[in-house]
Amino acid sequence: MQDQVVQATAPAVKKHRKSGIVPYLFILPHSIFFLAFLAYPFFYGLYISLFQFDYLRPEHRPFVGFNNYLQVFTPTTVQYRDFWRSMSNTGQFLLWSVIPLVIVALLLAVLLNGKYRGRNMFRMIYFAPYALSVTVASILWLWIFQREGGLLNHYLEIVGLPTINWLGRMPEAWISITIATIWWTIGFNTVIFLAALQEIPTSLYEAAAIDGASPVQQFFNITIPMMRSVLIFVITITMIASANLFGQPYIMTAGGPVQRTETIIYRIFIEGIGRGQMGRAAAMSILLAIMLLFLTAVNFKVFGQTERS
Amino acid sequence: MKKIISNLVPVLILLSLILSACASGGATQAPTQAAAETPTGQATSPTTAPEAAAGTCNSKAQGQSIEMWSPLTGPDGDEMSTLADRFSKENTYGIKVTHVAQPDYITKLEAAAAAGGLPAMTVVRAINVGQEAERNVLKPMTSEVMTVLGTNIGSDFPDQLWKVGEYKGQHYSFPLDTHALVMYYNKDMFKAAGMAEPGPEPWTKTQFEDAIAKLSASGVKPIAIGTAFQAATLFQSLIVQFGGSLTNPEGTKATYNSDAGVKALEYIKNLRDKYSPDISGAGDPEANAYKQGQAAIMIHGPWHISDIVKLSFAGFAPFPTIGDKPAVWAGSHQLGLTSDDPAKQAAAMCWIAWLSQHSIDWAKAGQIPARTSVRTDPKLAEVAAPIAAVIKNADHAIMLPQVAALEGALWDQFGPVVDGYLTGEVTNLKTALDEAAARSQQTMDENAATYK
Repeated sequence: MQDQVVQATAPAVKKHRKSGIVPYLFILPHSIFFLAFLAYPFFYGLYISLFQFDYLRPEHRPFVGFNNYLQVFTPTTVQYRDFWRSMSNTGQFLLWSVIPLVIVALLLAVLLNGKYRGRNMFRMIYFAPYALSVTVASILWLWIFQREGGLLNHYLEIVGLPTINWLGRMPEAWISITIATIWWTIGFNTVIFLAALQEIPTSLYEAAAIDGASPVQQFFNITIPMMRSVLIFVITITMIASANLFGQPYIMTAGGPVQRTETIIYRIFIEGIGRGQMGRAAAMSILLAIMLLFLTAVNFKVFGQTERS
Repeated sequence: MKKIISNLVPVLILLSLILSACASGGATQAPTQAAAETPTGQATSPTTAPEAAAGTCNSKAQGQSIEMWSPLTGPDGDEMSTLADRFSKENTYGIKVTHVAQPDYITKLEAAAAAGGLPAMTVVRAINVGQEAERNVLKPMTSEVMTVLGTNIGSDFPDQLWKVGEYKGQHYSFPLDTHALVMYYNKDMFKAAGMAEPGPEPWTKTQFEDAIAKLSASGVKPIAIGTAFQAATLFQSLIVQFGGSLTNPEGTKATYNSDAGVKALEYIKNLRDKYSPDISGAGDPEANAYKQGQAAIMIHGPWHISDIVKLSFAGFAPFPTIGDKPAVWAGSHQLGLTSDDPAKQAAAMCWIAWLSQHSIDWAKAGQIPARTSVRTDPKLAEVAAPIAAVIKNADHAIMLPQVAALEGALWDQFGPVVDGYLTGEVTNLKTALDEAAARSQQTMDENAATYK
């Protein structure tokens, strides 16, 4: 029956399939890495989340069922407190970081899209920090924001202003981490916006200019609508990247003050690597993944609706 | 033909992947095999080894090159590397020791254990011994490999320092030093306030409070108290001085929510609010405040000695006794084996024996030598004057019992309460401590079940 359907509906496809293994060879390199570094770890993570799993104690790995998940939802446990506090911290960072990461990148992209001398140099300069590792970027900003002997406080002192405990207080610690993150990652969003800007036909702007639209009106009535799909993409990946914040607080604040910058990935790191509770860490990761999927779906829904209306 | 080739390509790629995986697996196995062969190749006489006297290394150690990892990333690490080089040159067995210091050394050790790339041995913080023994990173020190250290070696150490290397009735580590909190003071500020410098005995409560008052009256900030690590160790010292403790002696019950705990924190907060510059956060800002002359007294770990000793105004004294009895938070660097290979173990033990005998030189790195015979050596004052000045600390050192993952279970919960209380976020201290202790207890019970 199936054969008949195939024969009847798609002889061309069948012929194409027969024509060889070549298409599969093309996707083979990616498949290997996808299977080895994404698919396999994901399913293995699902598997170990059902165990009390210490990678250094293969002889002690009791099956605990959904206990690792239940702990996170039982208000009397230490895990409940740790997990939801880190989640709330991560949420705070999302609020602090996503808007500037998108808006500043968009403005930068518009500026870098103009026609002037040295444009390529500026494009390179703004993208350059993104090439650094998180460690280098974080240590640089740690040296700037340090309470004692930090560059920023040094200059504040010279100017005669009071010094600020940038990394030891709230919300200064979030502000510091956000600034470091913007400096480090803004190049990526900017480059994507820049590519999208260049796709917008110049004839639209010319027509608008003839109709007497100001540059601001052009920006809101041409640029933004034309870039809607790219905006959704950038907002979504920025949210995911911000939700995965780890290196900056690990190096700059060690999760402090009083665990306020201990993000969910930081928590997962402490549970899995620090305490050898890989099963629990895997369960927390999967819960985070589910939440991020949900967030992404909401994103597309919200932006999709405005497009239709 | 073309089809055959195109079909072959993925197979070839797969094959090459499998082969390369095998090759790397083989590479890691090769050294162990080679090492295992050496002793038999040299035909060591089994009769000499067990009867070897102290200081005579097991001949299996002959010609071994071993690596020692450590968390000693400061100037103390350079000192350790110098000692390792000296031993490598001096020993007659051709043993070569390489010292590798790294931050996050525990994480690195665990990763190395998972990947099968552990060094021969490591410097391990006493607090980590139990968990690393459970997690198969540290290997037991059998009485056989310990013969090189000499008979009855344990009696040359304070009981607590020796016992902390024991876990579940088995020896896992050998004490190198102890690091108790030191009271750093500013000689110039003391002089300006018309005060005598502290002596080798810990200050009494009266002496301490008198000094704070006089320093304050002289117009300087008397003491630098921050949060995080410093506050947590002050708390651990004072709670014992006031008659309490973090846990019961077995390390199975969290007891820091006692009246002594509340009293200790109230005392620290009062000092901090009235007499300290406003500092908080990680990275030891209180040490920087002292170095920059912003406070006259600063209590912190001895690892700051090698840096602070360069300052002209630096003075060193033991931790004061503010409560009913002397007690001071302390840790200990211990030496542990991370290899099962008998030849590597023999070489490591040979080096450990030498290092322990030369631990007076280790005092230069700002650590109090663990051995009683070295601590009471009159030469210590010449070699390391600051250490000699704070040596009384060693008699009152308090450490947690050797229970796997105990420190994390306690600090993770009381640490935020200590910081929160000092910075004014926690107002109902007793309730906060009760809740924290309950959470510590939960983790301790869970650990007990995990590592039973």
